[in-house]
Amino acid sequence: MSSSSQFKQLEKLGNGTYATVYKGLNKTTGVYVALKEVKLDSEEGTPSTAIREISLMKELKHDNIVRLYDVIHTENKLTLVFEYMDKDLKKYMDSRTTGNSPQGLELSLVKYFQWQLFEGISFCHENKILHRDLKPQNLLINNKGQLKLGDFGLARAFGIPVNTFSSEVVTLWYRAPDVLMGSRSYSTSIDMWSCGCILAEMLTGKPLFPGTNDEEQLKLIFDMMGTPTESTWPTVTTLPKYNSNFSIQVPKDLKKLLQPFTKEQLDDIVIDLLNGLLQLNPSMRLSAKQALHHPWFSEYYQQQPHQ
Amino acid sequence: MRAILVSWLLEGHEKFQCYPETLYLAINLMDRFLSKNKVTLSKLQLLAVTSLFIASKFEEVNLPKLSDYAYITDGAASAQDIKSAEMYMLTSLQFNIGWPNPMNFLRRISKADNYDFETRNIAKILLEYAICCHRFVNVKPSVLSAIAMFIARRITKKSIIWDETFTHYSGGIDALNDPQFKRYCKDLIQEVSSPSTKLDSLMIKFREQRYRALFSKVLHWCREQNENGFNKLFTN
Repeated sequence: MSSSSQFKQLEKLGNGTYATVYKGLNKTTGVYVALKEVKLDSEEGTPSTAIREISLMKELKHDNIVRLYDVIHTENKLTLVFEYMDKDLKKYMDSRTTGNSPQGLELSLVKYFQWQLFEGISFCHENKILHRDLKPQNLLINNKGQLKLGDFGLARAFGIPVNTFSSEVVTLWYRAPDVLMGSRSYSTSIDMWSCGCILAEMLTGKPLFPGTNDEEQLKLIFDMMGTPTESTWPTVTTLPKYNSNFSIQVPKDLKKLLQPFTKEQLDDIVIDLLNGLLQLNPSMRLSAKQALHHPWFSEYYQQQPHQ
Repeated sequence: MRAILVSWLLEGHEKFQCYPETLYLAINLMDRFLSKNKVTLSKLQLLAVTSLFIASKFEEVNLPKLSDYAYITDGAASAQDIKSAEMYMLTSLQFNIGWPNPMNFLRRISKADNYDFETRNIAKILLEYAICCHRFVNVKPSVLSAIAMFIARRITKKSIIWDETFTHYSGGIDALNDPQFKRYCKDLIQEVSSPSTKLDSLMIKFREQRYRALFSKVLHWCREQNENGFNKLFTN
């Protein structure tokens, strides 16, 4: 373990789910880091989010996951020393907004970010860890165009088959329909839905399903993807919050809906990938491994003979 | 001594109605801590309650309050004691809290017989028994789950005891031809029929309504096996 005197604390970078993050400088190496400070004065001792984040991230060493270098314990706080990243994807997209109209990113950049997102989440899933809070704010990027998964405060380890978990996970806009309807036996598909929402958001520059509450969130999803039935999604009617009064919608043409907001012309291949991720039925949703092999990425995986 | 602590953990775990994963993780955290730290007699209960406190934070969806943990120690540890012990333990374990929980392996191996209800419940009893006994501390969680499953299938008189499907879902254990595995199976059967350590809370738990019938079946079968010298235990 390093000591806290090794780092010089610089400006505040933001507030995480349960902590404050500062930019820091390692005085010995001259390398910038992100210092995440967790207060320990809570009634309940060390926050469970910190225990999970640290124990899980220690095991996740991958180019597309923010590295946790060290944990420093001082009197009344815990400092997590992370790899420094320049900004998050949300801020990056905002910085590209011209005037008041949000803009999508260039397709080649979207592809590169999305590929890295899949690489990172695929590694998590292979190591039996669910992130459970994927959103642009938690995807960090640096000036080299690298994208890395951060903030594992809601993450947890899982087995195969899975046990039941809390359905109070994932920021509303990126929450899968099965979880919105109260499913507690979700698995890796929960993260894949979020990946779909993020892909659409990068293409158009605005959130795909910006609901304000659970009901509205489901309505927005069904309006675009169609209302699920027992034939399109067996067992859907048995979910705790399934409502037989959902208004019946048919799936819309995603290309037509998104095209007016994108920077470049969309092709059918990226729409096919998006549809694969935004499958209402979790068992039909693409896995991270499958997504990495999607034709949209052919130029990437053809460079890697082993895959 | 470990048996007393495990018994105490079992009681606390029952009171909070936590997942089985939480109990197993708590026992594992306690074992790991004790393997590298000396703990005085008076602090052992604090260690046990703190292990449960940390394990719950890792596994549970709804967490009991810190004051409830202090309460179940009946004055042996205050909330402040547990808080300090928590950080001491986390630091000593270097925040390596996750481990391959045997429940995950049991869930997986159950796929091989399509989650046969009785076999699974018997396997759970055997697994819990094994985890509470110190002589299985060094056995891998995946192997423990396979042992529990193998014996459970014997008890429920399955015609095919172990085939390629079980080998596959157990992560490659060839139960009928693996001498080490066979030895562990005999050890567990022996341990159940004539315990070398007293696990009072476990016996109380298994005599409750929900376990009683199954546990007496397990106990009866194990004693019989032990008496007839493990006859035909490993023939398909």
